[in-house]
Amino acid sequence: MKSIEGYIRAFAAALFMIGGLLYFGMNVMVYSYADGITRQQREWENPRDPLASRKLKISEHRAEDGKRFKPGYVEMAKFDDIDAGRTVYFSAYVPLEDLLNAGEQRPSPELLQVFAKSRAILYAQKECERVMQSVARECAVNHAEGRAEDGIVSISGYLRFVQRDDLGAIDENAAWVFSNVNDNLTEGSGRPTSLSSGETGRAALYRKAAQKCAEIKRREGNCAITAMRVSMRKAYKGGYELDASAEYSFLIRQPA
Amino acid sequence: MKTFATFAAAILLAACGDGGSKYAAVPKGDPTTARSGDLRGVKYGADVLLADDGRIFWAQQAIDGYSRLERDAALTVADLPPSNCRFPAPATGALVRHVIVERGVQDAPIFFFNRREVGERAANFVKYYAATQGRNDKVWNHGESDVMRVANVVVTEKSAPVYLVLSSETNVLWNILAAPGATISNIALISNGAAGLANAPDGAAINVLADERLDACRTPQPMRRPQDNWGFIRNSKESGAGYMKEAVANNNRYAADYSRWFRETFGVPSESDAIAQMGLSNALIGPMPAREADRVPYRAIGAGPVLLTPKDYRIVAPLADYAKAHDAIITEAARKAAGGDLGAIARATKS
Repeated sequence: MKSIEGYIRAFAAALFMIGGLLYFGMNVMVYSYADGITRQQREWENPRDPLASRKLKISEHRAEDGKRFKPGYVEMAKFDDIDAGRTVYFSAYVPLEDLLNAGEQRPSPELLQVFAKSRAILYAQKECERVMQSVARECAVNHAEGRAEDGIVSISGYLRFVQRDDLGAIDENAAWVFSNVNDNLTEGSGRPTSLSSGETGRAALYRKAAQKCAEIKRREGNCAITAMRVSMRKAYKGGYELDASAEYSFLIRQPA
Repeated sequence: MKTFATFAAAILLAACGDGGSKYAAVPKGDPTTARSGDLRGVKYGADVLLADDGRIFWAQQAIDGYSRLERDAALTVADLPPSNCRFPAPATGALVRHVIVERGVQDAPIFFFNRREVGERAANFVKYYAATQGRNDKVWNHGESDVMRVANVVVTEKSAPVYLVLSSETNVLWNILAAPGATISNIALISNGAAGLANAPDGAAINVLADERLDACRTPQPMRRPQDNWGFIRNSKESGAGYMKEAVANNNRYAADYSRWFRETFGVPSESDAIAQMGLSNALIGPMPAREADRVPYRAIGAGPVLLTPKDYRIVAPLADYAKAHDAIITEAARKAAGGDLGAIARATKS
């Protein structure tokens, strides 16, 4: 039979142990969190080269500070990683009726914006399918926004993707110079379009980007589309127009 | 066994004090200190009572059998009469008494929201649902803004019929505790949010102007004139930032608009003789009862039907049940907006 004092001692000991374990656990959590932030900071200040393990001789791929990479390099180097940062930005004007399912009624005014926001995401997924017709073999929606006004939903979105064609062979014995070019796909001026032809117009521009990258690949042996932007906007003279650009990253072989 | 039952009953009685409520006894301490400062004024404790002469008491000193709100009490509700944008002019000799608050202090098991808010909340839900690839399927908690809070109004004024004007900047349920012999001729409810009335005395004319009806009737929103003890005013003076000065000026302008409309409608100033506070649980209109026996009997909000303004969604239920019903409404709106399959949004954002 334990005395009351004995019970109090046992209780205090158990309390002390639990407290100690909690204190230890909290310390581990705080340390892990701080460590994660430090690593992220270090990676941002002095990022690792994704191609470092291949021991390629690459130059001109770092920014002026000599540490960070130039735009497009990591996106090219992590060619098969959908989260490497390659994005397609698109914007479109879509009649609200085109976003309704078969037999679906127009949403009530109060639910119009949540409708626009939700359907923007689903529309962006269809845009992914259009991108996959020529540019990508994998595609997912990063973010999409929709806003309904006067029966038209303006949609914009960012997609991430893995390119359909491979990067191309890179000779590990050669020396390479990194290059990144931006190309206006609509020759600097808006290409006239309409509400009904916006989708086919954008699909044609995606094809054009894929063709241009294929040309670079034929010439240099490799090419990655590291960013695309296809915007539909209201034209000054009425109607709509498309404006598009693509960014290609590739390595240029240096003479031996 | 009998001894135990007697002992338990004694403990229960001791805990409940007089009148059967555990809050019925007058608390110890100074009621003027039971308060906290906030950006838009002062919030008094649940048991504090403010008199129309500016003095501060414990509610128990004026209310017999006082109790705090029973949050899970079953309530019978009915609609307040619809507004016709006008309030009857006070009769000659009637005493117009005004109480204006931002909010009550005690939460009632009554919640309001409208279709526009459902749309906005569903859009927010979709935004975070998509951003987390469907992992975050929780609806944000809006209980704080949807809840209706209670303010008791104790009327001891017997020298003339009282025309009560009760203004609020958010959802407030006014619980009227009239002393025997006091006459309330009119009750005017004006609210930026929903309005409610419990224990309305027989014979009082009730007029309401609340929520979207304020705009429809081109009536200024109830607004108190900013005071130096508001955190918002102190911050503005300390920072001197232009946008804060502008906010203060706007607040002053809205309060002046309300004051002008109030004087035109009721013939008296809106604030100079009013009980005007940010958070208030009990107001006293008339003299403080001289003797304990003269205190006004407490009536719970559920003692009779609770009259409420209509709204698209009005949920009378404890907080947990409201939250469940609210979340189901928002999720359903989001699901419908996504064409019937919320999972499609999650799938679109997954690699």
